[in-house]
Amino acid sequence: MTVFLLGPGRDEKGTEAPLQARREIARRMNATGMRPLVMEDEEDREDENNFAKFRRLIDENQPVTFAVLVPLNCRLQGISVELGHLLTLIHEGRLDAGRVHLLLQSLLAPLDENGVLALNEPGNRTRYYEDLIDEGCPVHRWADWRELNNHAVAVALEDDGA
Amino acid sequence: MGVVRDVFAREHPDALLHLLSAADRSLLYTEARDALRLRPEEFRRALNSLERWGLVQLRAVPRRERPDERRRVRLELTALGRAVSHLHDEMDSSWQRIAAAEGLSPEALALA
Repeated sequence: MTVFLLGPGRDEKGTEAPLQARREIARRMNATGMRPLVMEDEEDREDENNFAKFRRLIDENQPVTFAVLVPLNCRLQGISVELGHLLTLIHEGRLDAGRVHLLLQSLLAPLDENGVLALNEPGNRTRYYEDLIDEGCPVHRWADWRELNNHAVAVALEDDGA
Repeated sequence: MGVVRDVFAREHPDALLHLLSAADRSLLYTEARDALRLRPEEFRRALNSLERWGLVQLRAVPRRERPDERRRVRLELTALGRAVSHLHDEMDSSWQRIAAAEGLSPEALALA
């Protein structure tokens, strides 16, 4: 059972901290018997571009769950393409929105007093991201590493049909 | 008085966990808040506590189904909640102590 772990590779300062966070989550998921997939750690092929690689990894591995890790202050251009593809699949009825889990740092996803969820960080995200929420993708909010890990375990268990 | 208020506040996450468990694991944010009769800030703290432990995820009602409910979320117990109920007897004491300090009793977790 495969969880495709998506997210930005670099933060605004250019460090690979967000990628390292995904790798650490992958390591923990591995320990629980899941099969996490981190695109950057999968072998490149000379005959394919980035999007072709992304599509191939989905086709070959048939992920049961997609987990999208979004910390604050990261470069989101890359995952915009990936999220757009997932949004297309959901919109066409080829992917259940419930299988795309959004792991958002809490400050990115405030709730108002009526339980309406928004997405913050103007200027560093597109309103299309909110479409994923509108489609019914589950949102997990976390403030620090420990909380993120708790939610990652929850997503992995979901994958396992627990 | 402060102590009484503090103890009461620690019971809120437990109450929310019980409520969601009794409601087939899912309730609208406003339904849960109103059922517990908590002030918005009290309810927000209780929810934050469950989110910290990964026990609750948020899911909006799909817009095409309910345009009037745009991005209004349901609170859903996660698979972690189910797993915790199985792990209840095996949880180490430090985990239980930390959870209790945040208002989550082992009994309530077993219901998750």
